[in-house]
This record gives sequence, structure tokens and C-alpha cells, in this order.
Amino acid sequence: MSCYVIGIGGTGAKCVEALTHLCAAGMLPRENLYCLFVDPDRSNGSLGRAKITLGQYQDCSELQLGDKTEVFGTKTSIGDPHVWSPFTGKQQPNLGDFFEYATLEGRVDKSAQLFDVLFSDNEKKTGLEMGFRGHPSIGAAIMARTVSLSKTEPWKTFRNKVSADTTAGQQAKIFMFGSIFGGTGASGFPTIARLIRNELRLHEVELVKIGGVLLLPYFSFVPPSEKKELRAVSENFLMNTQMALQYYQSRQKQHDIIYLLGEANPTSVQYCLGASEQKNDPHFLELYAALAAIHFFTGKELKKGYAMIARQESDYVKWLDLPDEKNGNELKKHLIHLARFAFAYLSVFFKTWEAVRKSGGAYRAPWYIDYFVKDGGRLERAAVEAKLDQVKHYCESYLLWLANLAASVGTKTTVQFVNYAAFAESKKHGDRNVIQLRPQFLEKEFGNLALPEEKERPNDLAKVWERMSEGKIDARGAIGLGKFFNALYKVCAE
Amino acid sequence: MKHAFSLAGMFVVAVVFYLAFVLVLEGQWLLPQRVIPVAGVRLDQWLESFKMWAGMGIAAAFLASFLWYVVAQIVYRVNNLSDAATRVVWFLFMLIPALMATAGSIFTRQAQAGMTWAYVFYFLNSLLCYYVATVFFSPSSHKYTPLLASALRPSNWIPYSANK
Repeated sequence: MSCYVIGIGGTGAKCVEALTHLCAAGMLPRENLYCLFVDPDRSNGSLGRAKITLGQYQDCSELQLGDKTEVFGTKTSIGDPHVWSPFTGKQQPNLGDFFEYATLEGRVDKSAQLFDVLFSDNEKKTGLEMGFRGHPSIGAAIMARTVSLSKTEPWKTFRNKVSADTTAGQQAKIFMFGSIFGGTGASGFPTIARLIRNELRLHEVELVKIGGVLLLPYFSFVPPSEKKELRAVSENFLMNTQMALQYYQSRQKQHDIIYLLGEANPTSVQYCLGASEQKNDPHFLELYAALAAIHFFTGKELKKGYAMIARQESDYVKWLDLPDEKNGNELKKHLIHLARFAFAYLSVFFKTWEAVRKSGGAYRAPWYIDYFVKDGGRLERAAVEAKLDQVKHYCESYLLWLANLAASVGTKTTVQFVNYAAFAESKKHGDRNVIQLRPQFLEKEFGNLALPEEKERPNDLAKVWERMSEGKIDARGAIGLGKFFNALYKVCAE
Repeated sequence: MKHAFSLAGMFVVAVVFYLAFVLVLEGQWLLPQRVIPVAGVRLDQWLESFKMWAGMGIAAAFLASFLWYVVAQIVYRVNNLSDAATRVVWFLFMLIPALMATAGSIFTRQAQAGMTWAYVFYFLNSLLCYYVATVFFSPSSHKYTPLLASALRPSNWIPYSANK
């Protein structure tokens, strides 16, 4: 089986980011995941962060950790180009130009009149380089005209891969992430699904499953009042959502399964039109979205009907509220395990490795001698440095993502997942709070990363050091640096 | 289990040193041919005195290695490089067997000839016993603190782990 994921718009990209972290935590081991991003605003900040995270994940997944290790166990590939935009090659696209409205108007064509009925002047003339500005009607028209599975990349490769799967008799599962209330996600989600469905040949219908998650409004913003330009308006989100849901219920039958996610306490985010400034913090709802993808990819049978889950207390989100068969414990095990690994690596092992490299005295860190001198003597130094740096960058991204989920800045909901204060802190940047990693982690909190806190275990990090120094971790199948990371990951689970 | 194994290992090293080096190699083979006690002291009396002080030197070496293990394991529970700089502490514990060897050198019955051999053996026995015990049985977080331990000690030869 192959898994395909399409992140549509900024929210879609953030969900791919969450899915990437779940893959890193071993939630989708030994699967092939092909990722596509769809966004007319290629410089969107949330999209940029998702791409970086995916790239960091791919670097880490090159570590040869052995077959039995689930961490970084999903093989991922990303479309080329990484982000598909309907505006390739056009500098300042607008809807009017795109449909050659001036030409239509000159011919006194009926289609020009229809165009006038459907779109206001403002919608026709506004530049779309920063997305569809909360207007799915614009996005749907453009997407339907530009997405071509047989002509343009990365759709061509995507189509070929799906064909290869079905020709080999394998199932291909396609999952989409998008918001129902915005511009890009709301327009791309049904349109792309329809285009894919239309392309399927008879023998493929049974083998190709299409699923997706739609996020209902979960954030709001206050735009500057003086500007009158075309833009998303969060007051319209609920109305847009209502209309869209009616559409999905009555007309949209392209998906085999759709997951709907909503949040009663919307997060307040800073308004921005698009581009790199549109970089909203990760939100716990995106974790739910990623879990929906895992459910879709790993579910043996897609059951018909409707299922609903909700959390126990409206103001709190706990592990218990997460949808897994073990009351959130399975997910907790994976995410906390990876958090401990990232914490230990960043706060102790990477720093020690750097210090030994600069000033010597390796005898003080027996694990360094065992894994980097005795065992890793044949490894090329530059390659080792590059790989350790790559893992560091991924670990930073992961902890920052986790901290943002837990901190839930701008919402009334308290997320009780992780004791993020152990490794991150909230700092005032202008008029908003930003979560960033602490320069020095609170090492005594290492044993208490999961909430609710249990008894204090201040020596846990020293135990990890001791176990690593024993050199007794069974890392069969791991090669080179993979032995070190395999051992550290296993020790952090104990 | 791991700690019991390591401490037992240190004890075995001390016993082997006493039996193999003090009683057999030095007490029966090397020293009787090289030492001539002063007038009024028989060779067997001198050897008894040597064995006693040599034994105390080895006991001091065992005590030092035992204390090193306890201090390294309990006081120096490290998770960073600066706290792990314990080589000075390891050297300081070496003073215990060294002092006992010095005491042995001073208080052993004197001899007309071969006394230098006794001095050499006192120091060699006790310091080597401490060295071997700590090279092979130091706590894993400090296993390469003894000089040249990284070359001598197999990286994972202790059959027990900290979590067992």
C-alpha cells in the first residue's frame, strides 16, 4: 500500500507538518508517504515551516536505524516542485486576467455576463499571489482549470505513482488536508478530489481510496479596519462553513471518508494577508487532523456511517481525549518518547559531542568513545557533523511544535499534553507571545515531560547518560551513526 | 545487580593480586632469592612481615577502588561533560594505596640487601591492584576515567545494565 497526502493551503500545510511529526514518532512505520502541497501563495509562512520540517524529517530518515526501530520509519517523498500553484510563471495574477475577461467582454459574450454575475469587480481585479483571500469561489474556478493530472508536475508523477500501485494490485490511499472556511483549502479540497476521481480508470476505482480532513473554523483574527482590499474575514468563517457543509452533504461524493474537526474556543491569531507573515503557530487541532490521516492510512476497512468524538471537558484537552484505542496512551507513548529523545539529544548529547570535538577530554563521555571513536572511527567526520546537525534541527522543530500545541497561545483551551516549560518558554515579541526553546533546558524535568506530572525523577537524564555509557543497547541492523541514535532512542523509552 | 557484580569484581581482583603476586610470585619465587634480612631476623620472619604489609597495601587498594566506585556512582551522577571531569578524583583515591605502600616501606623489617625489591613490590602491588580494579569495574558513566581505560576495557563487557 502507498499513502499520498495533499496539504491544501496554509492549514493543509500545518496538518502535513503535524503528520510529519507523527511519522517521526513512529505512528506510520514502514509505509511510503508521498506529499504534495497546493498553495497559490508559495511564500506562505506556514507552508514554509511545513516544508522545512518535512525536509528535516527526510534527512533524519536517512539514518540507518535498523529495521525494528519505528522512529523516522516512514519513507517520505515530496512532489517536484514541492508546492504546486495554479499561477506558475505569472507574476501578478488576478481572476480577470486568468479567464481573459477583457477579451470575453470585448466579444459581448454570454460567458462574460455570467462572469459578472459570479464575481465582483474587486474579485476580478485583486492580485492572487497571496492566495484566494478567503474566497473559495475564486479558488474553485482557478483550480478546476489548472489542475491537470496528466500534463503538469507534480501531478503527473503523482498520477504515475498511483497507476503503478494499482497496476501492481496494491491499494493507493490519498488523503487531503484543508480548511473548510478559507480560500485555498475550501476550494481545492472538493475540486482536486473530483479531478482525481474523474481520472481513475475502471480497475482503479476499488483500489484507490480518497479521504480527507476538513477543519472547521478554529482561529479568528481582527483585520486592520482602514484597509478595504479583498481579504479573508473571520466573521464570515461560520457562514462559509455552513454553506460548505450543506454542499458536502448534498453534492460532494468524491471522498470515501471525510473527517470534520472543529474547536469551540477559536484561537486568536495576528491578521496578515499572506506570504511569509502568514505563519500561524501549530494548534492541537492539527494533531487531530494528522491522527485522522493515520486512521485513514492504517484502517483496514473504512466503515460507512457517521462517528463522532468529543473531548470530556470543553476547556481542557488531555491525552484521554485523543482518538486512539488505548485512551490516548499509545499516542502519548510515541510523542513523549520522541520528546525525551529530542530533549536528551539537544540538552546533553549534542552539546557534549560539540564540546568534545572542540576541547577533547572524550574519556568523560564514555558513550562518545564507544559510538564515535571505537565504533564510528571509519565514519567521515564532515558527514557525521552534517548528520548530527540535521537531527538537531529536526529535534528543535519537534519540541517547538510540541510546545506550541501545549501552550495554545491565544486560546482559552488548556492543553494538558506536555510539560513544555521544561524546554520552552513564552517570550513577548511585539504585541504577541511567541514560544521559543530555552537556551538551557530544565534538566531535572526530563523525567516529567508528560502531563499530568507524576513523582519527581530528577536523575532520569543521568540514567540515560549511564545507560548510553554502558554500550549495551541492542542496535542490531543499525549502521554507522544509526547505532548511536538507535541506542539513544531506546534508552529514552526506558 | 550491576553494582554487586562490579564490587565483587573489585574484590576478586584484590584476592587474585594477593594470592598470585604477594603469596606466590613475590613471597615464594622472587624475594627469597633477592633479600638478605639483617642479623637476628630470619628470612621467613622477614617474608611474613612483607606479606602482611603487602596485604594491607592490597586491602587499601580494594578500599580505594570501592570508595571510588561509590563516590563516582552516587556523588558524580553526571549528564554533562564538566561534571564528568573525575580523573583528579580517581588520582586522589590512588593516594590511599600509595600511602599504605609508603607505610609498608617504612615499617617492614629492614634487610641487608634486596630491600628495594620490597619497596617496588609494595607500590606495584597496591597501585596496580587499584588500577586494574578501576579499569575494569568503574561505574559505566566513568568507565574511561582511569588512564588508558578506553584502550583496555571492552566497551560493554559488564553483563548487567543499570535498569536491571
